[in-house]
Amino acid sequence: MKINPLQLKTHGSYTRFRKILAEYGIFFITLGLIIICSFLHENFLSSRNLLNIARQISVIGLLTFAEAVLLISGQIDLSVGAAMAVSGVLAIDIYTATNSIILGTIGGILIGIIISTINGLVVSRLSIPAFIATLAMQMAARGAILIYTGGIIKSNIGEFRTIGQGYFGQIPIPVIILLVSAVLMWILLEKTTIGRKLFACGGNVDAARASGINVKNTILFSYIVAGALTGLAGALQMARLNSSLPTAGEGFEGTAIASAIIGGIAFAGGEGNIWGALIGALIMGILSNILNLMSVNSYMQDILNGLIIVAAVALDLRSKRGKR
Amino acid sequence: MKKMKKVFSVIMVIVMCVVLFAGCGTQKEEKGETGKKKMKVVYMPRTLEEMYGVWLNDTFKEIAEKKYGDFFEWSVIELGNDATKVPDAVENAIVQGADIIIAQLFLTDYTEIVQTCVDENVGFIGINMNREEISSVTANVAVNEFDLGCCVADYMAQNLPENAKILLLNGPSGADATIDRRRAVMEHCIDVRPDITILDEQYADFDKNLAMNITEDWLQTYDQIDAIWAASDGMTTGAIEAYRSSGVDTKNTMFFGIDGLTEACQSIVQNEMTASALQDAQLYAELTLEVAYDIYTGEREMNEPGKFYIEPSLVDASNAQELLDRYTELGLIK
Repeated sequence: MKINPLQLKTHGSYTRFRKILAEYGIFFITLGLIIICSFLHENFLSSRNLLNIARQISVIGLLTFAEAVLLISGQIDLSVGAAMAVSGVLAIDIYTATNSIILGTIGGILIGIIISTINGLVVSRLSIPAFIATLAMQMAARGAILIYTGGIIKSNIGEFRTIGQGYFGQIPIPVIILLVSAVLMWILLEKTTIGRKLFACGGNVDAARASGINVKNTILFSYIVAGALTGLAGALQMARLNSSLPTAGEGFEGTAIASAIIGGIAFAGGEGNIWGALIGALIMGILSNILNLMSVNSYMQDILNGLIIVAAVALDLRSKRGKR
Repeated sequence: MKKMKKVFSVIMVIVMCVVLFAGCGTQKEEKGETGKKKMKVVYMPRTLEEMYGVWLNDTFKEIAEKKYGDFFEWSVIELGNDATKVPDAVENAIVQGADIIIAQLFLTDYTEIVQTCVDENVGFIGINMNREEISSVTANVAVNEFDLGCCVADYMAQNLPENAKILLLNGPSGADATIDRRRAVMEHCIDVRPDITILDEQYADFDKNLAMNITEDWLQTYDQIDAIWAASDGMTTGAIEAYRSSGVDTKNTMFFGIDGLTEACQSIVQNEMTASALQDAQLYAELTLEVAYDIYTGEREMNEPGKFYIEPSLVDASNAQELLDRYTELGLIK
């Protein structure tokens, strides 16, 4: 059989194109979304609005990273919303007691780590499924913080709100925190041995065990990292709202998991990257923003969000199938 | 091993019998100073996980103990903010021997549950159940949501600048509070001031975070916003935080809410929020317990239908500090 060199060349380009599409599909989808939105509203592409979107996704972005790290290692956490509320409320209390924003924030992160470590221990040591263990933690954490606060909201938290509402030059501080966290998570997942172990555990836990990875400790580690991110998100959320709000974060776990999945993190584990997760959170933020700018009824927004999420994930999956 | 099992079984049977007979024992009746048997009142707050629920519960308890301590035996079953718990909670209260149930319920039709109480000769007093079907079978102490909305709407009509451009943040779609509070704004503000323009309105579901996000987006769209009205203070303060986080001065916008709780009062004192409306927990507790006392004395039939309204009041710069002092005294501000 004769092979036409021109045909081969065309086929090679097509394969390369499919590969690029598979690798960066979600980024192209985001780009397409941004272009469409810029036609839908004149202010969409203004620098002020873009910073507004970035600011709005900062908290959910951190929670998306937390879910991403867990999903990659084959886990999930349904308690991030409640843990975020606990960490945030206690971060404010620590700030009030010490008058130090740094101590308050570190305190919030530590509380997040403690809650998530309990999750990790229950999952890894008692072999209780993550879904059940973290659902139980969600209920317990929500109850605990409501007992602790008596349901009372504290407003005007003082200078602590700077980390949620302040600016460094022209850039909102929460956006800087989000980006720094993304870089740190990228280093952790892509450039360290423990990062590769997380992927291995999520991809095939038996193979990971057979290759000598301490699966229990690796899973525990993934929860600790997720806890730190959740704690930071809690401190940031309370600072943003300028309140110590014990009911904050209700339903955030759903948005965070959805953002991670949209961003290409495999629900079955072992696949994805942190930039994809960030893009996932960004897509959710862009959708909410453009629909508000266009005065679309908020319940209609929910319907459209649902449809667009399914469409984005379907497109991404299709492009990945092409990769295989 | 078999012997152990037998011994264990015998012990279990004995324990069960003891518990069973203990349950059948006669309960000692508590009597007040008047010699008449105390009436067992079971209070069912919707939730004790938010400030208003705590305030209402504390106020009820205080008045019940101080003013009616000789007549009422007071106990509480919390509903955990879950409408599905209501039937079980009512049945439990009846089994416990409740004479009267005072319940702060949800936006659902509880006619059948109330009817169960009527059939069992247990009194039922609803709190803020703005449903006609409830008021037709028993007593209902409520604030009229429309009147509550009018408090603020009238103030807006008088104080908004000419040709004002305003935005509305509604509560959850379909809720009585959402519908009536919004209707009050339409009828008492927009209809009487045709120069006012509503730029946009959204459902923010009484959620501060959602209200903040929506307002941040509005700030990208509208250059002139003279006022933001929200169906709850939580949403109003969320809107104010949106201004702060976007670096926009709050001084050019008036902010209105409903509830008049700590957050709103603090915000009014700081000259950020303009006005709110309050449904005073003290008035609720006083009026409800008066109805219960009338049943105790026989002045009122056990489940005589009736609607009792408490008067809402406006909260603005003139009385916000006074309310704050009261909240501090009550321990609602830590």
